[in-house]
Amino acid sequence: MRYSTGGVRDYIPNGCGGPDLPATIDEVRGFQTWYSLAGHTAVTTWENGDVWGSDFRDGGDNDPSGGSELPEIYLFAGHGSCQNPPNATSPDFFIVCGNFGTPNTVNVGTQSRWGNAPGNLQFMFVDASCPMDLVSIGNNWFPVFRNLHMATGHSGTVNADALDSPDRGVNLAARTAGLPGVLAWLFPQQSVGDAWMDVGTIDIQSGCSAVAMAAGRTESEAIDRRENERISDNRPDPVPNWFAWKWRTA
Amino acid sequence: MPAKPTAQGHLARLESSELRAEASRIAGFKLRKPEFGSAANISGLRDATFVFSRRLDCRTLFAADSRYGPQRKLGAWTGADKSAISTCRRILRAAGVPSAEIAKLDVVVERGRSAERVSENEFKLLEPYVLRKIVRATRAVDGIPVWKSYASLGLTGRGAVGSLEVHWPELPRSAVKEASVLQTLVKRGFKPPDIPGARLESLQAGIVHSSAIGFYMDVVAAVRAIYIGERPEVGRKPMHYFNRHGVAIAMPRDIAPRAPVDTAPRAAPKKPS
Repeated sequence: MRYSTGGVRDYIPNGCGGPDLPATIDEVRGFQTWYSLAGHTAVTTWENGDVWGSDFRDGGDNDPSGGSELPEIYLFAGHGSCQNPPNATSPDFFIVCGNFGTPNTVNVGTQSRWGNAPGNLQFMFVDASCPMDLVSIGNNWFPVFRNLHMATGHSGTVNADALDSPDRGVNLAARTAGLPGVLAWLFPQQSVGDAWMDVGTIDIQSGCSAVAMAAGRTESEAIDRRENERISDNRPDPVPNWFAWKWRTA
Repeated sequence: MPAKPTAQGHLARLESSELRAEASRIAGFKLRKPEFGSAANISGLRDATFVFSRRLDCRTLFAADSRYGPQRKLGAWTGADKSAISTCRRILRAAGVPSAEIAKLDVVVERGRSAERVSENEFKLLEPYVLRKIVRATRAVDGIPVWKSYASLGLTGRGAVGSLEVHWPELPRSAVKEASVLQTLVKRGFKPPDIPGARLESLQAGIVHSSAIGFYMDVVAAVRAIYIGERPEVGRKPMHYFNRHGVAIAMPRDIAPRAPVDTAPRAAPKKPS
């Protein structure tokens, strides 16, 4: 499989709303290390100002220099939105601090569409605070799924937020990559949904939830993907008639 | 002529019996004609149903029954919290976890929900439901939190072990002693460095160590500072770990980091012609 990462540490030095997030760099590099060990191929691994808002907006997401639709798997680590509290119509945002491709704020529900031709993205891993709020998941995330298989993120508030830690992304990689040889079973290898339930709850505040979501032609297909789909299953793209998601709250 | 025993063969003879006994004693797994494996810092056994493995460099073990899970043959526990917690307590004792170090045992509920697309912008949401309950144990030594130690237990519908992880490394006395010093410094008004664009939200002394899945076991005492941004709606709060001098610690490793692939800056987008 081919993967990309986008990690944004520098918000203040580039004149964006801060604060800086130093752990994002360790997070994306750790993710790359595990995925490379498992034999996956990096497409782009941009950091800081080289991660652009347009990479996540439909249209710009096929940019050959770093769009999120180039690989099958993408991890974004940076700031996101966190309302206090969100409601059903609250938007979800990723926030970057790009040298180009502005604006830096991406409204997921209205601007992001993944898996639509010619895009390749199957798994979107978001570690950016709260941009997968349960209360507004229909408005913000159902429209996003074109041929996307699964997405992971967090639901929370200002007081129930994710902390800047490398451990969620790094451990997600270790548990989903499919390690070589006997390491493939000596260390737990999990479905995307199960792995995120275990690692998405690391270093988050009480009340924050790890969320994993899948699409399918039928309800049972969406549930089966949510529970069992691994990145290496090579499953066909889903028809997004149904959505199934699950969450664990810290 | 008999084949020369391989290194794996020697290791299998040395470790298999003990692993098999531990799998039975801790997880209740009865492995049948198991395959042995060992690589890097971990060894284990598996058969068609069970996997049991443990790290060689710390008190860390993994156990899984492939039939466990909400969509699988043995299902997942959704029953009373009390019996799941008492099962977890018994398992931790069998795994050699000191009971005095168990700070908290609680039950985390995993929930699920579905929705159907009725039209392009219209969706019908079904009611949420409980998928499984997981017992989580957290750790403190002499009142000092050990942030990355944990035990996680998922039971089958009938209460047998479905998935178990125990990551409870032995701690050097020096780390516990230093964490105690840091705890005193925090009580006496330890001032962490200011972070531009944020203010301090909380401060705590404790111990941080490497993750369960990884090739290192580093242990460091630290003061953990959590900050909140000046614009709180911009989420993912900065979290920094400092030593007694207010200097950032070297974080525990899991895997040797990979050098960045892209070293040249990304080219500006081409202007449309």
